[in-house]
Amino acid sequence: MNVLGISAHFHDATAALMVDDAIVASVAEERISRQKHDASLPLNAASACLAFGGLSAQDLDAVVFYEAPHEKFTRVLASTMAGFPRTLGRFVSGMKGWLGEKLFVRNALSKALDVHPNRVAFSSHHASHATHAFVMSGFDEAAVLVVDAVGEWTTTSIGRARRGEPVELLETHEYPDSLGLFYAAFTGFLGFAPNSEECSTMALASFGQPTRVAEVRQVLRLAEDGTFSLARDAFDLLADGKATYTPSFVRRFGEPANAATVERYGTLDALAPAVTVISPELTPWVDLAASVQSVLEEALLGLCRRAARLVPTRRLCLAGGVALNCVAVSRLAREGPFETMFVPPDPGDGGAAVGAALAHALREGRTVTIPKSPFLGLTPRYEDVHAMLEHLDPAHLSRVNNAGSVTCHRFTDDDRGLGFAADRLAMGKIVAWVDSRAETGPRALGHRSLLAHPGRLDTVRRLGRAVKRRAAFRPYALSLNATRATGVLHEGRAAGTLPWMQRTAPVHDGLRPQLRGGVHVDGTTRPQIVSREAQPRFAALLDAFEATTGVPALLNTSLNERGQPLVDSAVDALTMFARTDLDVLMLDTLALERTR
Amino acid sequence: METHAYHLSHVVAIGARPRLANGVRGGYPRGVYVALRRWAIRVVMPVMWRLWPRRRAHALAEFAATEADSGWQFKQAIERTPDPALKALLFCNLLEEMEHSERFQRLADGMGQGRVGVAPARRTSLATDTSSLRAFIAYVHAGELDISHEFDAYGRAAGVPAISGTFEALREDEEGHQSGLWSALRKLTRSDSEARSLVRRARWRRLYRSWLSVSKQLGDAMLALWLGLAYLLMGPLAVWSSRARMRSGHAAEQP
Repeated sequence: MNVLGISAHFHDATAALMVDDAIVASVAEERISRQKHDASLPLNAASACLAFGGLSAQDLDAVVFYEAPHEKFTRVLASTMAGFPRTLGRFVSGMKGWLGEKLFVRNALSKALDVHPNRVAFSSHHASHATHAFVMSGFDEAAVLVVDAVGEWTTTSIGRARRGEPVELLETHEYPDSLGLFYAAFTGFLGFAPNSEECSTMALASFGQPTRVAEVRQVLRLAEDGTFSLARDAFDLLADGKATYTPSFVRRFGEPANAATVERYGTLDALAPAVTVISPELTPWVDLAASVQSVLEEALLGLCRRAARLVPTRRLCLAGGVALNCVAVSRLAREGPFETMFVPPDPGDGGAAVGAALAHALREGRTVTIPKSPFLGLTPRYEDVHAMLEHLDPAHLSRVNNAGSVTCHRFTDDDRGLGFAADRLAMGKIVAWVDSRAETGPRALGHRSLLAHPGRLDTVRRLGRAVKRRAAFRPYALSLNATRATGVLHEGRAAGTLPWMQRTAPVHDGLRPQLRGGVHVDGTTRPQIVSREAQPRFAALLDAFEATTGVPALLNTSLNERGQPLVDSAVDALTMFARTDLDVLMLDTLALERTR
Repeated sequence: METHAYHLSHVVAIGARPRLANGVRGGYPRGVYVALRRWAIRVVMPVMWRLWPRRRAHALAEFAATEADSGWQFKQAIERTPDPALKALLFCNLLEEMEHSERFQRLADGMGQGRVGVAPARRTSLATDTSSLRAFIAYVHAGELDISHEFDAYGRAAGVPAISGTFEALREDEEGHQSGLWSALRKLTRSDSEARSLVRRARWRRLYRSWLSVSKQLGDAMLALWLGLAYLLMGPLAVWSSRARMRSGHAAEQP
């Protein structure tokens, strides 16, 4: 069965292609459109998936949208009308979008892809998430917990999954009680973009103490039985999926963070020698972040225990945007009632496009498969860059520093290329690493990565300042070969079951100085445990780097500029090289090196 | 390992003053439209920006989005042309458009005292295949001329040195793009008359698109009016049931 799964209209729109019951590609629209979190119908991504699979739209048995738009519409309408007459503006602006393609998704997809409307089907939002997580886990049976902002009405669901059957959702929490919206509201209150910069809230939390848990629990009430509810007066939930806070929230927590506060966060440093005294101006903010994080974890633990009671099994699959909170995931892995846990590498709406296709095929009685790998994206066309290099002025590739010259190295032998990259990394250079199919989800996993020596703090600081241009309080991650996991990490064996940066793990004390650039102030890292079978080239690079330096891991962060999605094509990579202070760009057999 | 430093073999005239020598000029309705737009920018914009300073930041953010889209279009074209020299030219344009976008966004954020964003529009590539590449270049060439005129008008109307200076600097870049693209178009068509004909068609296409955009804005205004009316009529009937639904929350229900 050939099925195209589609997610769109909230954030991270994605198209995923199933050919003969096997998922073969998954591409986020943002990677092609270069608009971060692009929510528009992913037509560019759909075309790219079809081209990858060698299919035309006429070859598809079904196009499956990841949620039920009419049901979602009732939620948006009800939440807007509940605010009558204050919501006139929201109603008008919201309905303009809904009366276009958002409500009439069947027609929009049928017209855009040129398929008969009868071939457009729908899956429920949480069933899409749950199916993606379960099928990818490879488990025979599991409990499934989906926690996100909101789908149609459902914000949280607990389900039972068995191999070869559609996932059965046993219990749901419904809008407006949502852990995703709760966390997003605080993210906005702390001065970050809600539904986008939740990772900043999580990073900030490590600098604080959870001293304000009692206050936070007044707005997120947790019951003994694992259920929860939001204080209705504290959250402004009338907007379509965009949680904000109310005057009542401000009365409880004070004025929201302003530009000056956000600037002050810049004084916090993930690379500081130890957690030093936080300034009195910042203490309430970091403590609030820590408290919000702590309450979220408690809520998730409650839900896990509830899931364990409902579904007596030792395995849990976790999905939904909240599953991107790697600190919470590691606490669930440590303290939760399940022996084994699986979180897909793209647990958010991108993964739900894959889940929609899988769920539809399961309903049709098919036996579905999905590679247990996050590398379902597009292959870069290296030839585009090879061709144009002969005609480019090197000055255009040194726009930032303007002083350096750019040298082009071509390798006929891959080992030499790997040796060259390892050598430059050892010298403290920042290397952009582009290799074969892109990873799905928000984490760079060695196919679209920025790499650096984790022990060279001067390099790491330059990476943050001149390439990533991101706040110093946000930590970087480490990539290490699976054979090094237990030697580098406490809980290394457990971390190996979630190898794609889905959780955090403490780094052994003795290794912290040489890995400091990839270790947060709390002594943890978000590790990628590299399997030699799945990523032989990246594993060989780690080997070469260790052989040169004795350091068993590389600092690995996403290959993108601030505000941009992960680099996808070879031209994107060259663009980033030209616009930032990158030292080396590795593109297959080609390396561009900037010398100063 | 083969190593070499590479140098420019095909000189790209980025930043050079334009010759504006495509020969497609003269009186036609587009000229009236462009003149009207420039007049509106010079007369209406300063008043609006003074009355609603937030609109100024928003307008700059829209310029940032437009420039980013322009860069994206160049990227699509790079992937669709087999000509390496043209790829290189388009790549240089792509870099400049991205830089413009960043400069506008910085200005917008500065004026708005924080991140000012606009809703992203769907990206639709103008160059869909190799055969449409010439039409694409003609279209962008025509667009760059309009943009350089508009930047000139905005620069004069802005009234803030930082904004005026940016518009002026970027106008020169856009004129450079225009010149480079005209050369590329001539090279692709191998005939001045065909190149001119493509540019003429592109200008009519742009005019038609402008008309569609104005029509859409009018349609949106009408729709907003009707929706407002529907809200006021429907609201009193729906408000109580909606509030009850919001209060209930339906925690942990069995479906």
